[in-house]
Amino acid sequence: MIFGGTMLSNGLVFARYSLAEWIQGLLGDRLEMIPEWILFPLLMLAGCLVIIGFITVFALFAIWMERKVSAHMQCRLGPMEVGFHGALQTIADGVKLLGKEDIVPRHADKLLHYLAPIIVFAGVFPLFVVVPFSEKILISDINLGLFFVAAVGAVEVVGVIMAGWASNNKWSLFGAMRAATQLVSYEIPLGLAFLTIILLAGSFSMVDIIHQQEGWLSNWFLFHNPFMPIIFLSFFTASLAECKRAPFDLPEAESELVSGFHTEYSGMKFSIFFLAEYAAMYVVCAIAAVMFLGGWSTGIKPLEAWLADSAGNPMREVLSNTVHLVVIVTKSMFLVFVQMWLRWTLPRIRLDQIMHVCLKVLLPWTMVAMVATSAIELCWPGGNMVLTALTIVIWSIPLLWTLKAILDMTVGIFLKFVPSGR
Amino acid sequence: MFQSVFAKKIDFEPKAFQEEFGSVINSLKDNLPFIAPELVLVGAICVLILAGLFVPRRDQKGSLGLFSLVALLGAGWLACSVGTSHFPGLEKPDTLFQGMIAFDSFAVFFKALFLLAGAVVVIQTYLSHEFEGFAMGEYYSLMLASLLGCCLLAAATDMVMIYLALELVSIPTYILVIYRKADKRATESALKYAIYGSVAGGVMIYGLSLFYGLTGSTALTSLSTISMEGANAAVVVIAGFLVFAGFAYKMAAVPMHFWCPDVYEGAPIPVTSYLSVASKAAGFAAFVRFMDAFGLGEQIRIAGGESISIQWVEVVAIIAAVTMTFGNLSALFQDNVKRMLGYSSIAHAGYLLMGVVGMKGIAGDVEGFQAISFYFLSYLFMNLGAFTVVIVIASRTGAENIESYKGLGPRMPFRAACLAIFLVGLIGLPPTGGFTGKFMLLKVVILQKYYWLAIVAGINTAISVYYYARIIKNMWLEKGSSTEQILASPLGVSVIGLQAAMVLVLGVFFSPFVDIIQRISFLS
Amino acid sequence: MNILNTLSILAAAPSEATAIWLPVFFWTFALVSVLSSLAVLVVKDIVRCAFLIMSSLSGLAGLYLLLGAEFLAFTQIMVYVGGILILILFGVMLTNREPLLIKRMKATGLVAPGVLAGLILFTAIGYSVCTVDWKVTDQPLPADADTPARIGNALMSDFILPFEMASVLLLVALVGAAMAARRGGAEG
Repeated sequence: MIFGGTMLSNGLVFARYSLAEWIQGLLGDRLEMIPEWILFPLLMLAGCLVIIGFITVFALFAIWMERKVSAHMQCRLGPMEVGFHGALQTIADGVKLLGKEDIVPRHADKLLHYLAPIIVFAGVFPLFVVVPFSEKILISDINLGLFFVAAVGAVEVVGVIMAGWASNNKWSLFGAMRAATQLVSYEIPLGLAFLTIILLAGSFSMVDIIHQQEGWLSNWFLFHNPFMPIIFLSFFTASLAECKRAPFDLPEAESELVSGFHTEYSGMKFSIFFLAEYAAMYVVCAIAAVMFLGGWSTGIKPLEAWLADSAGNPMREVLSNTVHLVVIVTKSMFLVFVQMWLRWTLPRIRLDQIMHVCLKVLLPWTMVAMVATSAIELCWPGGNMVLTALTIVIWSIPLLWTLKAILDMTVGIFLKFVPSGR
Repeated sequence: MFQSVFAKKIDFEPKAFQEEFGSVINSLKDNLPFIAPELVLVGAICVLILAGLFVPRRDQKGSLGLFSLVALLGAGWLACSVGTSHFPGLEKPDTLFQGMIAFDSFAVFFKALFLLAGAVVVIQTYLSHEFEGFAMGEYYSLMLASLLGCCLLAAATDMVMIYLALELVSIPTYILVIYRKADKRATESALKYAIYGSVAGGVMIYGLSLFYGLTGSTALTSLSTISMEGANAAVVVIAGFLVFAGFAYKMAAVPMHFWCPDVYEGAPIPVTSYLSVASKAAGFAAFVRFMDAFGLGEQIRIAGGESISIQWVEVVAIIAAVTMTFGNLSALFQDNVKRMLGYSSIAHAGYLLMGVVGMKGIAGDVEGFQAISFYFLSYLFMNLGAFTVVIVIASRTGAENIESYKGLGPRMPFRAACLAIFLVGLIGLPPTGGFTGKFMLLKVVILQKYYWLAIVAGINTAISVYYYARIIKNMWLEKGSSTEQILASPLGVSVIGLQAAMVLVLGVFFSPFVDIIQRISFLS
Repeated sequence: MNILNTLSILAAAPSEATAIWLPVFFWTFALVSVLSSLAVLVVKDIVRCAFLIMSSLSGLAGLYLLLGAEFLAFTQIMVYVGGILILILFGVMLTNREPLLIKRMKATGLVAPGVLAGLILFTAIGYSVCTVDWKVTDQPLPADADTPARIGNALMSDFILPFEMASVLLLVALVGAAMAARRGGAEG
């Protein structure tokens, strides 16, 4: 055959399964009975199931969280009936959605209408392959991690356009056009942010990037030099736009376009759009955590070293993985919370403002920051303590301000539950 | 386990890269002085793009044009000086940048030719009325980028570089053609040009990838190592034809010539004149180098006791004959001067291909491309000169039609006389450079015993007399509607005069130029 | 038997058993890309054509992946699916006022030469591919072949001149495209 033996070896991008280890523990000696050629697709399937499981659970939680956060920000209580503080509300909603009739408009392009949710989901789902949770809990550490994210993330917009077009509805089409404009434009600052991180880490791999930031908190790329927070802000803003989250939610602006590109979707297809949106939220936040916030690193050097020293100590390894899992999920969930916070704080901006923000604010600033970071990396390869200190000093003011705002808000929420004397 | 994270970071990638590629990088640094003209162009492009934002719109044609002129002449001077003398303390390498481009007298000659042509086109732009009030920063930067592509194309010795340089020549010119957007003809022709260009480029890259598969390398030198076993001969032919499509598009040779008249008519006249000389010459330079590396002559290779030869020369000869005949016959029926010059430029591509035919024979037989080089030298002055006069006439009277040239002779005697000289040169009559060039081309063809091709070329020259002489006749022998003198600007008159003088010098005192030409080779 | 070892063996040297999946993947990707390209010719709805182009390009990306060119595969997805296809769709949707745009090309004159040219090119290339003993390497790439690093090193050493010239080309193309797209062109 022309395509010879090397193909599979390199085609197996998904070569490193921690999952495999787990399956081995489960099956033990019986594993040998399974031939290799069956094992291979089975492992792939298992990986997919794990991702789908995570997405579902996350979406269940995040939707509830969104409703609670929005409610408390508007001095409401949100769902309270089903389960503790409405915790099971999303499950009930999910069951309801499953039972709903699947309506396809009469003049819609039936095939494309059917395919669109699948393509949107296909643009998000593979991203979880490279999202790490700890050294052992990750599907695959491919050596093109960030590039893979940038490439596959671009597929989603095709699905959105397809949905908008196939619905044969003016509002849907407007939503799709807005989505295309916005998503394609914001890929540029996003890509520049990726480039900066790749430049600093010298690798595309998520795990490599995290390893570069181990040690003390000051090693996080966010504090690498005074320009990195600019990159972070630009990345975060662009990722909001990529997720179509407010204030960049023009593609589905309820007050203008009914609900944008998924106006004509109901039942399970609608919930797939919803699932993809929430999955994308987690992915961009997890990637931001990996790129800027040290990934699963706790930021405490002695603790990290103690956790890493697990030779001959399986319990330590379990502990290390658990701690790292908790750390990276916490960081990501914090960023998810910020996304929700912004959604319920900022008004939606106009399309021309969206373009203005992207091309005249984010792009030049990211570019400047990227060039400056490259220059710094050239002068002091690996970073410089003085610069890090400078970064923390300069950026502590807005940071402290942000923290104060968060404190005010959380305290405010708690205070609401304290019965007042009046 | 308490290892310093900073330390770990420092001996990461960069160091390994330094060790492994340090020597390569250093050799690349040594190469930089030899692409000084290209670097000047790149710098000028960036300056022009920025300057276009700050210089007031009405001054742009003059001030930015002057800057481009200085940059082009500076680059041209650098090309000549780097090419003819050694930089102190530097050893002249055979190839630059890991075999991407060559540094030989052939490349240097063509670079100087392109940059000179570029300088003339910049002056033409200044003389032209077509760009009043236009933003010119982009115009000049695109022009310079295309010239940069020409320079690289003449020197390219690697298939990657050839393709990239070809696109660098083409893509800026698509936009130059559409520069006057309000003009419907320009929009239509730019679209045709771009579609043709992308198809030709796509077909060419098919061929290049076949060659890459046959040789396992992108270097042109590896082309001569293709083993012609069995079926491979057919594949070499297929790949050769596919690659030829790309070159033919740039040269405007027959199977890929359709864009030429439309674009020449639709584009602003300075752009037309640029396309007819610099970009065509770049295509020829690359084609000549490619054919030389290919072993154009008797391509006989022994494979399994059987000798297989592919007669490329026959193919090129037929294409040359068809191209010149088609160009000349079509030019007969044109009324628009630009369109007529477009067809005449197709015809000249045919004449020039005769030089490639002359490259047949033993290795080191250089007369063929020396003839091409000389012809381009005189074609530069003849064609650019003719276009300069056409621009002046169009600017002063708005006439682009051959009929409206009636009676222009007495109204602008000096410039009309110069146009007559240019047209006589384009016909190929003495005492002009056109005659010397065509003589050299015919000589190499006859030396190769392609008598039929020489006869075809002779017949074609006779045909071309009709449509060139028609302009001269209209200017001097016919009566026009007006007898008012047409204003002469000192710049226009001097440029036209200089070019006419050069055409005559190349026709009479050609020996110093022939000396220069005879020193051109593919060896540095 | 350690499953991790099994996997690393799978990745490094595919045994006969796992090679079963190779043709499955190959034919899937190949059929997807060829069939959707063919469908582009037949389907009348121009938007559907654009989406078919997407599936054709994605199939090609899959083939690149099988050949061990992950970087190329992801670039293919990013550039074509994420960029060029969106542009095509945008163009189609903005220029079209009817809900479903139908290709209205008259099937005269152009079809026969088009089919002929396509057939000639197909025959020529197919003949070349099938008959020639191509210069292929039988050395398998190591399983940990760090292709991005290799590509980066090649671009920064052997191919630095084309790389830099490509950046000049992109710069002027960008400036020129902005100029050509501006309302009123260089005059505006």
